[in-house]
Amino acid sequence: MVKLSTSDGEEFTVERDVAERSVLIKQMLEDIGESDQAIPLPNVSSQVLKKVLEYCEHHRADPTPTVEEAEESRKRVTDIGEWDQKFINVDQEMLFEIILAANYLDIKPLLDVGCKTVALMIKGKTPDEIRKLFNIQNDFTPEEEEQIKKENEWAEDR
Amino acid sequence: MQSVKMQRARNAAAAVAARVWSGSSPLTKSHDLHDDALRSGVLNVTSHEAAVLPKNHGDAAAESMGQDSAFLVSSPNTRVADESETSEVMIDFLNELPPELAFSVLLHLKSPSEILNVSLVCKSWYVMATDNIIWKAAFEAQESWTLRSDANELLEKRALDPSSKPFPYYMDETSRGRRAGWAARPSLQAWRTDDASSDSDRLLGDHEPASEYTVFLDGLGDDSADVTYDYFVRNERYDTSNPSTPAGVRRAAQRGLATPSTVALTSSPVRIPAARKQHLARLDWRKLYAARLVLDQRWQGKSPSNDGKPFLPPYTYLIGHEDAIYCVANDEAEDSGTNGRIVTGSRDHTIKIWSCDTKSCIRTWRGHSGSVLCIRLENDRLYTGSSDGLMIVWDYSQLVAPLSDDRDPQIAETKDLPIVSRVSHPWSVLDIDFNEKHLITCCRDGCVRVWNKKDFSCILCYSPHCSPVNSGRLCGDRIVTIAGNNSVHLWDVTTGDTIRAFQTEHGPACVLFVEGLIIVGTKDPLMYAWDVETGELQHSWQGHEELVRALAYDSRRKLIASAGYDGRVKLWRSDSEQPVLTLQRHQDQVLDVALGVSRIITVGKERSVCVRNFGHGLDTTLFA
Repeated sequence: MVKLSTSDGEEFTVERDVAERSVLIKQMLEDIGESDQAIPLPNVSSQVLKKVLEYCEHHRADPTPTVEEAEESRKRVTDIGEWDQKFINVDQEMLFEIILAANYLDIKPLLDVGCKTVALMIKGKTPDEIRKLFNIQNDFTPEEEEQIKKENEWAEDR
Repeated sequence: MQSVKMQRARNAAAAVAARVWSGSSPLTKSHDLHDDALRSGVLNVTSHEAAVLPKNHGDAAAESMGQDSAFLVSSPNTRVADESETSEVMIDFLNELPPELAFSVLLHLKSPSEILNVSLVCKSWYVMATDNIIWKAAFEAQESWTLRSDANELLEKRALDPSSKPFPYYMDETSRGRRAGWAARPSLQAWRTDDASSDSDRLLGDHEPASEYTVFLDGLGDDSADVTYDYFVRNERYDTSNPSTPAGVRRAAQRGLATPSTVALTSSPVRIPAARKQHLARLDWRKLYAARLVLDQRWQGKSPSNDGKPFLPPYTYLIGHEDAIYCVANDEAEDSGTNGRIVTGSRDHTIKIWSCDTKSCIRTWRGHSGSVLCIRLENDRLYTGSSDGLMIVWDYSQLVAPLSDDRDPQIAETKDLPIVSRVSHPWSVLDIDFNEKHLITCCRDGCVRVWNKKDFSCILCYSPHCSPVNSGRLCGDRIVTIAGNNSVHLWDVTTGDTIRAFQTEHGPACVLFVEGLIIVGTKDPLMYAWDVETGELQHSWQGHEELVRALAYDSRRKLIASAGYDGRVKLWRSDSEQPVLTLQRHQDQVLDVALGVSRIITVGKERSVCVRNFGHGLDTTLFA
C-alpha cells in the first residue's frame, strides 16, 4: 500500500500498482522505497486526486504501451474508450484540473484522454461557437478577421 | 462592460496561475465524484477531514500557500463567465494550459480546416494554430506525405547557387513578427525560442530549453529580449529546478526543464545531425502543407482555383530519340537532382537519361541490338528488356554520371558500357518486374522466368499461358501474368501453382497488381479490375477509345494511371467508375506511362517524352 497526501492535507492509501500508473509516483517509490510516510503531492487537491485514482484503479492492469503504440493512439482523436468517455464527462474546470494533474503525475494515457477531449470539444464548431463554449473574447478587428479568412482559403473543403 | 469583462478575464488568469502556484484545490463547487473506488475498498481516505473538505477548502488553500498567498489575486469564483446565465465555469483551455499541453490538444486536430478554424477564435489562438509544430505534425500525419531524404542537401545547394530561385516555403519573418505581436501569452515564445534550430530540436525530441525566463520575441526588435514575465508563474509548477519531491530532483537531473509531456510532441523519431538540419529548421510547415494539399487536389481532378474546371498540368517535351519510345521510368530518388531524372528506352535501340533540372538528355547508351521494350529501375540497378532477347542489368549510378568532356550526350555510347549482367532469353523480353525477393521476366516464348537477384541465374521457368507473356506484376510471392491468348493468371511465383485464372475477351496488354486488385488494360478497350481474394470483377472501366497500352500506380494518392493508343492518359480511383482526370496531348499512340510526385511522364510513337507538371507554380522539389 502507498500513502499519498494532497495539497489540502488529505491522505489516500492505495495499492501500489494503482499508484504506479503515475510515473512520478513510480519513480519516487523506486527512489525511496515503500515507507509509512505519505508521498506529498502538493500540486493535486483531494477531489482531483480522487478522480485520478479512479482512473488509475480502472486501468491498473493495462499493459504499459510501447512508444509506437503511444504514438499511434495520439494520432487518432476519436478513439477514447467507452469507460474513459464516461469518466471524462465532467465540467470544464474538472477536466482542466485532471489534465494538469495527469501532466504533473505523469500519467500519459490520462493526459491523452484529457487533451483529446478538449480537441473533441473544439472539433466541428465554428469560431463563434468555440468562443461561446470557452468564454473567449473575439479580439480581431473585422479587417484582421477578413485577412485570416483569406489566408486560410487554400484549406477550404472542396 | 467590455473592460469589466476583460478585467474578469485577467483576474481569472491570475487566479488559475495562483492555484497552480500554490497547488491548492481549484474546485469551487462540489463535484459529483464517483465514489466507486472508495467503496471498492481500494482507496482509503485516511483523513477524517475528507467529508468536510469543500467547506475547508479556502482555509486549506490559504494555509498551503503560505508565503505565496500574495499570488492569490482573486477568488477563483470570478472565473464564472456570466453568472446570470449559467454557473458553469468556462476555461480558455489553450491559454490556460501550459503551452506544451495546449499544443497536445491542437495536435489532435488533423484536418487543415479544423486547425485554421481555431486560428479564427482570437489572436492568441491564432498564434498557436499557426505554429510550425502544429503544421509539421499535421503534414506528417498525412499517410503518404514525406520530404525527400536529401531535402536539406537540396536546400543547401539552392542556397549556394545564386542562379536558382530562393526556396519559397521558408518562414516569413514579417508574418511571424505579427503573430508574435498577437501572442497574448509571452510564455509561448519563451517555450518556443526563436533559435533557428529549436523547431527541429524539439520536434526531434531533442529539447534543450533556453534559460527559462528569457523571452525571444521575434520581430519585435532587440529591446524585447531577456524580458521576465509573471506569466511564468504557471510554468513554475513544472519548474524542476526547485523540485518539491525527491523524484522531482532526479527527473530534473534527467531531463533538465523538459516537462513530462514535452515527449508528447515528439512527432518524428528521426534524428538529424545538427550540422545537417539548419535549412530544414527554417521550413514553414504551413506553407509546405498548403503546397502539398494543392498538388494532391490537382492530381485528384479538383481545381484549386474554384473555377469549376480541373487543373490541367502544363507539359514539356523532351526530344532526342530517333524512333518510337517504348518504355519510361521515373527517378526521384536521393541524388537524382532537384527535379529528378527520367530514363527511356526506344525502338532506336538506345536508352536515354534525361535531367529534369535542365530538361535535356544527359547520357545515351546503346547496349541492345533490338528495340528496348521494357525498363525498370531498382535503386542502383536498371533492368532493360529488348527484342534482342536480352535483359541487361545496368549499374545505374554509372549510367547517370554526367559526361566529363564536351561530347554530345545525344550520341549513343557503345563502349565501356556499365553493364552488371546480360541475361539471355530465346525471344523478346516483353516485361520485367521485381520486388524485394524476386526478379522476373516475361518472354515472347511464353515463359515467365524467375531470376536470382544476386548472380542473375535462372531459378525457375514457368509457362502458364502457352502464349507470349505480355506483362507480369509481382505482389509478395504472388504474380499475375497476362498473355496474348487472352488469359490472365494469378499464381505462386515460388511453386508455379495457379491460384486463379481469368479470361478477357480481347488481348490484355498491361496489368497492375495493387490494392488487392488485378487491373488489366485490354484491346476492348476496357480496363478490368478483379478482386484478388474473391476473383470477382469489381470494375470494368470504360474510357479509352482504343487499346489500353500501359498502367501505372501512384501509391501516394492511390491513383491508377492508364494510357492508350487513343493518345489519352486517364487517372482513376479504385472506388469510382469514372476517371478523376483525362489528359490528352499525344497525337499518336501512348506506349508507356510513369508517375512521379508531381509529374506524369508519357512516351509513345511520337519519339518525344511528354512531361506533365502538376506542380506548376508550386515548389515541389522537397516532396517525396
